[in-house]
Amino acid sequence: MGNILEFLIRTDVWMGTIVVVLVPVGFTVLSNKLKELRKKTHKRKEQHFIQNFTLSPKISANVEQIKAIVGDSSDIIFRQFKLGMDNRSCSIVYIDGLVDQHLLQQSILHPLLNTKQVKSGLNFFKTESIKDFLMLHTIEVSDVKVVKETDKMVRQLLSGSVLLLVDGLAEVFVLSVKKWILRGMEEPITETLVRGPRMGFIENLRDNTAMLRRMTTDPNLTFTDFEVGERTKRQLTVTYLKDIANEKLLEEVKERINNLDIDHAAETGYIEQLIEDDYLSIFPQVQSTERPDRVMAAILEGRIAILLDGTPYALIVPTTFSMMLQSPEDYYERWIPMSLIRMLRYVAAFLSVFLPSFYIAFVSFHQGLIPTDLALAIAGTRIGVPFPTIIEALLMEVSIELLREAGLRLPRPVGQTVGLVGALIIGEAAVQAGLVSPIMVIVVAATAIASFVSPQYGAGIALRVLRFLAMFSAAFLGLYGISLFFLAICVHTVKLRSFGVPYITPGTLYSKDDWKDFFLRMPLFTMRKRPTEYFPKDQVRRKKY
Amino acid sequence: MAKQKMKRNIFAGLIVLLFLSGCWDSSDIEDMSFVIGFGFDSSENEETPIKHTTQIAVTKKKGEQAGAQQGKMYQDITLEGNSLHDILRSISLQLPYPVYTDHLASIVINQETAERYDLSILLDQILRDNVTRLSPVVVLSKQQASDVLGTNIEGEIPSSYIGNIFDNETSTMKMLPPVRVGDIAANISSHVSFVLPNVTKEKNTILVHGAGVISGKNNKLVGYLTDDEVQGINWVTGKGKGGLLNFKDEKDNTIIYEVQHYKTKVEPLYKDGRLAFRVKVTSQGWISEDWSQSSNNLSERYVQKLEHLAEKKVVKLMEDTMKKLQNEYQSDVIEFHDSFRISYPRDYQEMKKDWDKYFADADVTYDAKIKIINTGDMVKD
Repeated sequence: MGNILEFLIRTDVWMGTIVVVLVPVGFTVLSNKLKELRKKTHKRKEQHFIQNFTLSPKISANVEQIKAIVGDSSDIIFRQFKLGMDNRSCSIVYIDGLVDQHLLQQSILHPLLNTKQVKSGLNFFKTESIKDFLMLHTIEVSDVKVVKETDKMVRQLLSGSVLLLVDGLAEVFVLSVKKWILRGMEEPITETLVRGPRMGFIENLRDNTAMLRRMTTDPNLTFTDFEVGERTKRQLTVTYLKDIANEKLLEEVKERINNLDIDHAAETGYIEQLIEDDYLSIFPQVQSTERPDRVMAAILEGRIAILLDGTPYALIVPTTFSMMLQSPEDYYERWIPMSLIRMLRYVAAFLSVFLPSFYIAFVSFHQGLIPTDLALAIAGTRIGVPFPTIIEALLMEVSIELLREAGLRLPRPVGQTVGLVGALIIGEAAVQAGLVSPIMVIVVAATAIASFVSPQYGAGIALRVLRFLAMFSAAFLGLYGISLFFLAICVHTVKLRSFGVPYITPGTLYSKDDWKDFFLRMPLFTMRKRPTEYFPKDQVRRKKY
Repeated sequence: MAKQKMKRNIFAGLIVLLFLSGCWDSSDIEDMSFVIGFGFDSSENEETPIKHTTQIAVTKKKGEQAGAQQGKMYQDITLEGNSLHDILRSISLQLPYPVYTDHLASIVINQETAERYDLSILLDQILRDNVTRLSPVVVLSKQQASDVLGTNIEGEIPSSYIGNIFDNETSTMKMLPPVRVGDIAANISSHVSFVLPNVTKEKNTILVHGAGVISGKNNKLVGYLTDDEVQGINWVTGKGKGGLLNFKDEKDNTIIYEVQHYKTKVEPLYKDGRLAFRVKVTSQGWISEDWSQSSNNLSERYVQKLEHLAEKKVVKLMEDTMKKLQNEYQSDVIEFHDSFRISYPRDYQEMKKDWDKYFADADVTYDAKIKIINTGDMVKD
């Protein structure tokens, strides 16, 4: 009894108990909270950011209404004038900077001001016929809509269209003469290739769809538009080949996009995070790319691309782990070197996750597994290092990550300096000062280089996070810990799905044909069928050979 | 829902339990003493019959790497005691770090000690210990094992030096294949006789020289073999990896035949209680040296003559060795029991106990076939 009491009053016992109880309870509470947040449906009413009003035949009233809605912004131009033929008052409204001034002058203002009555049976003084006359004879713009809904009209105005209000008409002409400053097309810097098109998406959605359209004349290439962002209403386009993409997949994608609930989507990253399957997973379940050729190849496989106005990044779903280690160049170069390079990428991915943890496991748990001479050499270099291996490894890995982040954000010339200084500090000074052992520097450097091999930035980040977890598991239980960690990853990835497709397909021996394009990139003629993992409607890619 | 929550809690609890173990078995590599070699000698003191030498590698300190060549690369600790484990633990009294035997490279046993003590007793701790591997080579030594391990070889640790010598088994027939702790464990437990290579310390080096025969009956050293007899053993067992055959022609000129490839087949015959073996050796190789100054003579007849001489020499080597093994030591160290067991499994079960006796009485016939496929780069007149 006394023993039990003595045991109970020990502080470390209580600390342990608190840790054992609090940590799992905390995790559970946190995950439940997150789940609830995600599932919570909105009770609030649908918001209307634009007041509806009814258009009156009186032009001054309409102009006043529009002014009331868009406010007194200095970039909105109201221009009143009289029609050339019957002195009827008109007004054009547009946003300065979003409109092609030259075209506005030439194709809209000039004809309207100068139209003279032509020989035709039309009676100008009747309001119905003035609408037709303007549409058919006067306005020299191809994209003309006649709109009655005022909220739509205002949206159009704010996205760069010109509104033409005519006295006596309870409708508004929406003329599209959009033009604004755009970045020119460049080679995407995050996904550079040695061989392949030097094209990259830009911020304008229409140009992006045009780029895709340029790649094929297949009438099945379909763009379906959505509007996302309750307040900002951005245009989002789902792209697919309608005779290849699986219908259920398409439905699922459309449903998830329709269920999006966000006020503003600044980048496809928002969309990605809102439509992905498992928000707790460390792996990206949606592929993002800047390359039109990659998107084209994906939709030809039966996958679906999502483009958003205002960002050069397109999303591709579904995505598997092997996608993260593939580059379009794999298909552009010959198959033997590219197969080897692809295997190299798998090795690099493995190393970038596990190399430091293997070092930790070998040096602090399994010294017997190192060849004697190397063991003695490592032991020699570690003499005088004040930290255990895990601290040493963490120190180096964290400083490498710091360097990487610093180099990323700084202006390019400064970034290089930071890299140089950092390399000096890490490589030379830390060893000289006896903080870390030289072999640790080699391990960290090799890991960093291996992690740069990843052709997708998103995948690289995921692996970087996993590396730290692997290091901790190695520090706890050595190789046994690493195997447990690896098993945990395997369990997770087997369970993880991206739009219904298991994440490590075809690693799960799902289809023998898909293995031709997994670790190896077999010759093109062998890949006669589209990958079955996406259940394409049209299976056959090539008939002959 | 509540059930699921419960499950989740239990699962999370289990995960946390994993971490409670802390860094199980973790110890940093610089905080251990790497044992590279063991040496066994016997001591005169009856209380402490074993004199045991532990060779520990000195890990080079940083910044001293350049000067490390002068310093000793190892540290020998010789202690006496009556139990190996006890001695090993006593070492901890004078070392800063615990001993770690995973990198053990070789075990040197003094000949006298091997004659006096049963090997299964000497090596008992090593065989039981699950950290020490079965890979260290075991050798006998003529001098005291502590002396052999103390040989001053420039830039080498003597015990790993011994282990490395056996990498040369491809270039000489005078060296037995290395015998590892695992082999000894197997032989001891099945009461089979075997040979252990012997090393000798010469001034500043260690050389492999001859061998010792360990009897399967009492696991003690019962006799020695010379270099020539080791060659004979290699020819009979067929376990050598290649080497030279030195023979003489009728005018006493030295001729060297380099074995490229050889194979030995032992055919047992057991009839009416008489045990007989037929040893068939086939070999291919080159003539690499010929002192008879007949370098121009590349005629087929001459080559055939050489082949015949070489065959005779091989048979003689084998005969001499077998004579000693059968008559003097009565120990089957050449694994004739294995081929006999395969051919006559039932009979072997009965004869297993006294196998060495049967072996001593067996008739052995020899048959060597040597083919010279190359006489070297020679220019004919």
